[in-house]
Amino acid sequence: MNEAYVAPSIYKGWLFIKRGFLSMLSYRTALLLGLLSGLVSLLQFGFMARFLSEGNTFPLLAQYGGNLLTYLIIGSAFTGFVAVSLNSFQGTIRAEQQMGTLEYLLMSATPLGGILLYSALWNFLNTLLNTAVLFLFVTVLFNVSLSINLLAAGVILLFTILSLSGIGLMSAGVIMITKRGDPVNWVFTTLTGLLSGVLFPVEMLPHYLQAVSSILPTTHALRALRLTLTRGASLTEVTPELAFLVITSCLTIPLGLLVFHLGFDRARKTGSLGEY
Amino acid sequence: MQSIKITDLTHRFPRQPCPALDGFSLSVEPGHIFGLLGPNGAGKTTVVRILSTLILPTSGKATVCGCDVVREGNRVKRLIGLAASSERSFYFRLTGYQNLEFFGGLLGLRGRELENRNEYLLDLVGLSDARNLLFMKYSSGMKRKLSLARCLLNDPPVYLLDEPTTGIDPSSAIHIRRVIEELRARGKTVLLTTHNMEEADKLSDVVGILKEGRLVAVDTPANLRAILRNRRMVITFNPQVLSVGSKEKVNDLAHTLRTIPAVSGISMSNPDLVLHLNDTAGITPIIHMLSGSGLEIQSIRTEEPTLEDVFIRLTEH
Repeated sequence: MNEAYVAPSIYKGWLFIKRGFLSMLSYRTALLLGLLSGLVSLLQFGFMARFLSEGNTFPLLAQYGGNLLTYLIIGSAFTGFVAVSLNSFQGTIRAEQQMGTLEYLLMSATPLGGILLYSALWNFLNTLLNTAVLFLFVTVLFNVSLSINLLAAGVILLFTILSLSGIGLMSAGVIMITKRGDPVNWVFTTLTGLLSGVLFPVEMLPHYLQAVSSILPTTHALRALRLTLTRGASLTEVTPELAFLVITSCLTIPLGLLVFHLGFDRARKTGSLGEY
Repeated sequence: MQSIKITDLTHRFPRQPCPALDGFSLSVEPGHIFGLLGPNGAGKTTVVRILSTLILPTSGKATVCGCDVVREGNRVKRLIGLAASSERSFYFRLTGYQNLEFFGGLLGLRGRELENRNEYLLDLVGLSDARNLLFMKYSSGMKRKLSLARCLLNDPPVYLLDEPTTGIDPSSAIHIRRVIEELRARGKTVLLTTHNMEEADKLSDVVGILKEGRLVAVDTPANLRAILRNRRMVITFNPQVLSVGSKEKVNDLAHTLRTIPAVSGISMSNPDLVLHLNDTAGITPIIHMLSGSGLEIQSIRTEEPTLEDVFIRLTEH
């Protein structure tokens, strides 16, 4: 745009637009993932609309207590744990990078893995407290009847966090190289939202998507959590789901640590540890 | 054993045509302050970050008190205190004291020991009164002082100070220099990068000049100044004289002065005429010529070469 032919205020507006556009282009991965996210959200809303239109009469709802509200609340609360497990590690790295403190934390002879774990503790505790308050509030306000097996729900939640934390570690390793727009995290968050039965039962999905859903730890975690929270299911009753989560944890955590260390070493080689 | 020893260090950043460090070698004796000078982009910060274990070198070796920065990173971290040039390295919503408490705790200080250390350091850097102020309210000088206090937390033997006085007021800079001198008095080793030549000259036992990833000179500040072997004579004319049309006379004088063997070069810097003198030459013929010029001279002074002159000579060609 030639400033000689436009009013100063319009030209200034153009400068801001150009700045935003150039900044966005500099994060190419984030740009691509952002566009794809929009498309996936549309699909998700479509499935959810169908589910809501059937309400409490939806036949598969019976196994989860037959209550639409309970179904949605558990899905929503679960999303909080998924988000914190997937995002906590990379979120910590980015926050420390932006604050300029990451390198000083490392200089304190605290291993980066330790820094991530200590930072994540607060995030998990905070999410747990928020979820507990939310459950209490909803139960009282909407007179929702829950039958909770606290021990079983706790164990399921623990292994859910562990299996997703492995993916979170991979994500943290990738973010140290890409700086923004982490495909690992994006793929998992998107798949969880769309395919794990967070806001609508997976049975509503086409068969080929149900196949993908069945290999996601979040699908099994959500099913087990709903059963332990709405029907008071014991650990024996959710053994298949628990076994799946334990196996996933055994795979994702070592893999996550490997990817994380590769990313960390790469950032040290390129001198971009503190960059974001 | 040298406190810092770097041998043939090379570092290449991705997508950069030239290496940031190219066969860089250096050694710093215990209890010395080593001033590392160089133009922007010469590789000073890269050296500091490699010694801090934050960057892995492409090749070569660097040790701190005998510990390899790559293979013994955790041991090296306990031996060094780093104060980087960035102001953004603290938690903005914590106070200065709370920030020190956090980092001190990570360094293994506890309870009363941590409290006493924080109080001592805040007093040392002149931040006692600002201890309960949020970091985001700190001025640039205060931020640098807090950064210096943090690198002193565990009292390590080696300090890496990356431009500790850049961009701050003279009073804060003086305070920081005093702390650095105290470190030397306590037998600590300091690697100091700076753009302030006067600071490097006053503080450093040894100065190294870095250009395009290589050390082009290493010596004491006095020996480096001696490289130039010439002084300058600055002749200041009365500005009023110059303004009423004596410029031609000054040009003629400059032309004649060039013929004197003692003068190796002349530059004009209104109202000064700067003569670059050969090392041992006398200035009597110059004085005679000046007094016979008929121009009103306000002052004449001779200046020894500064570290800045050496720096410019070594880095600009």
